[in-house]
Amino acid sequence: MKHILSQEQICGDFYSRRFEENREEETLILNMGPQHPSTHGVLRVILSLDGEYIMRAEPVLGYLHRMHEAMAEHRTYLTYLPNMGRVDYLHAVAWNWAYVGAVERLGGIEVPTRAEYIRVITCELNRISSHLLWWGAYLLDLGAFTPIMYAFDDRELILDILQSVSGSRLTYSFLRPGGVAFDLPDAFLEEVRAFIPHLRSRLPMYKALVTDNTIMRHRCEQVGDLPLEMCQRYGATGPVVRGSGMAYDVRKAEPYGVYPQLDFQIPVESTCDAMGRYLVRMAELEQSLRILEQAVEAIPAGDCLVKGAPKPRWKAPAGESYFAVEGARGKIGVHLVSDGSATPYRCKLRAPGFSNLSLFAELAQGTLLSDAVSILGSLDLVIPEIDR
Amino acid sequence: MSNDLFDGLSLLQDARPDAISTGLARDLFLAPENIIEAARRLLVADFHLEDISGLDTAEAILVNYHFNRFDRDERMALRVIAPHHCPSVPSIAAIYGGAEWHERELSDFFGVVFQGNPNPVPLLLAETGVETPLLKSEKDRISIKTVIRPGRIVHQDSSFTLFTPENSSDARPADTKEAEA
Repeated sequence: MKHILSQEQICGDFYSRRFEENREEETLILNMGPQHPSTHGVLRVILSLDGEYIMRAEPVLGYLHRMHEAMAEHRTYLTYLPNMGRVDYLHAVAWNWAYVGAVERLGGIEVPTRAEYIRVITCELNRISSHLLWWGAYLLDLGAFTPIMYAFDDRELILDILQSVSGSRLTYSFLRPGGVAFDLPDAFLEEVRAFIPHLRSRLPMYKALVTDNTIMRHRCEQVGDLPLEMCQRYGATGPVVRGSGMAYDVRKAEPYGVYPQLDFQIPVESTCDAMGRYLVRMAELEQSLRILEQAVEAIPAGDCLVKGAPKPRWKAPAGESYFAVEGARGKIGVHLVSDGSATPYRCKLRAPGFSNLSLFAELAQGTLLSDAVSILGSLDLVIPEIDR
Repeated sequence: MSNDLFDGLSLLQDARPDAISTGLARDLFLAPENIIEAARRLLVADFHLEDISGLDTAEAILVNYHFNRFDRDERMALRVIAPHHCPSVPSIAAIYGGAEWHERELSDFFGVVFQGNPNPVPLLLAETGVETPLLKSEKDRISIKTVIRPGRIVHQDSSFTLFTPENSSDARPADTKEAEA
């Protein structure tokens, strides 16, 4: 096509210029982000628009890249743990778990049952807090300001509870290979018992206020149609694949911890749209409450760290291990390779958001620009996790 | 081995690792030219792509593809050896769209070139001036044999000597040595 500007005159960076090379006739190139409120963190998407319709989209990553995988090769197995809470700060406990799970698998380390229950309770509380934040932020993207206030109100209670056991409010790193770092404080289980009916009493209000709202439904229904076949090609997991009709949950598919002893369902929606993904997450709040309810009653007394648990200079036996857990955004995988020293030889982090976002370019094609905001939000992106 | 997913595809090694200690149900080594056909069959057999990761070893850069199923846990590791002097592997992005980003990440971190990747530009690192951060110095590299425990080997091609006991330094590909010298 005939450009008004020559290639040299086109402003922008490497990615803009490259994107411009394939510019279609009568289109507008628009950079959404990296500082756009709806991209949550610093994600940039270059869009080619025909009117309000997206012809082509290309996410540009790396603005929050910290090379966590290289850091692993310069720390011991234990001193790398705090990195996990910073990969995905919204579901830090799950990342902790994926990593210590890989270490335990490598070293053949047993975990006391009490510690397994502590992991389940904290992981599910953290999942609820993650879903609540997603809920508030997603609706903020869609133009509804009030819900995030309610979400943060409830999330605050969880942060208080988790702070009492872990010492931190967001970037938890209190899981250890062989258990957890601290036993529960005395009031912990009572606080969780009180929290369950509290959140349950709020869910009908959330539904009446938001889920049943016509405007909200119009922004989500039949938006971002994601067939299961596409989830498979891109490796999408978590609420994204469950919103496309597949009951895939690592807690059931590849059971770990004490999840097999707990009764819960995998919420599934087969509408394949943003609303499906929304409804899955809302139903998961209730399922996490169910898990909590059982876990606080079933938790046995005992040790919370196995005897002979790895010390800071612990050397892992040579070999490799892959461990996956179900995070709030999907399958978190840690692939550890050990050469027998105290430092991992290689640590690959599989971030669910990475795979979930990778399908965006294909999904956004032909949709309205305003729907792209809804689609991105429905994928529940946490950029630090994607960039690692 | 009848009705196997990879029937007719020449596998360098096919093994069943210890699932409890590795998390893998099957461990396969393939020649680079076979990875596209393998990916095609995995897609038809309802496998999804978990991730692609690199591993720098003394022998070569190992490209690991992890596949699994939604309906049951059957994690499969497919491995392709990319020599240090010419780390080039065909891209599977045309079959598994999600591979595009994983491959670009690997190019960033290890300098592996994926032929046929639709958008072969840096994904996470800056477009200029950054060296491959996960490549190790020659003295830090360890042998593939040290870290990969293939478990029960079901099939091994006669040309594949990576795990045979007599395979010491002399069995190392000569060209790799030259490139590192």
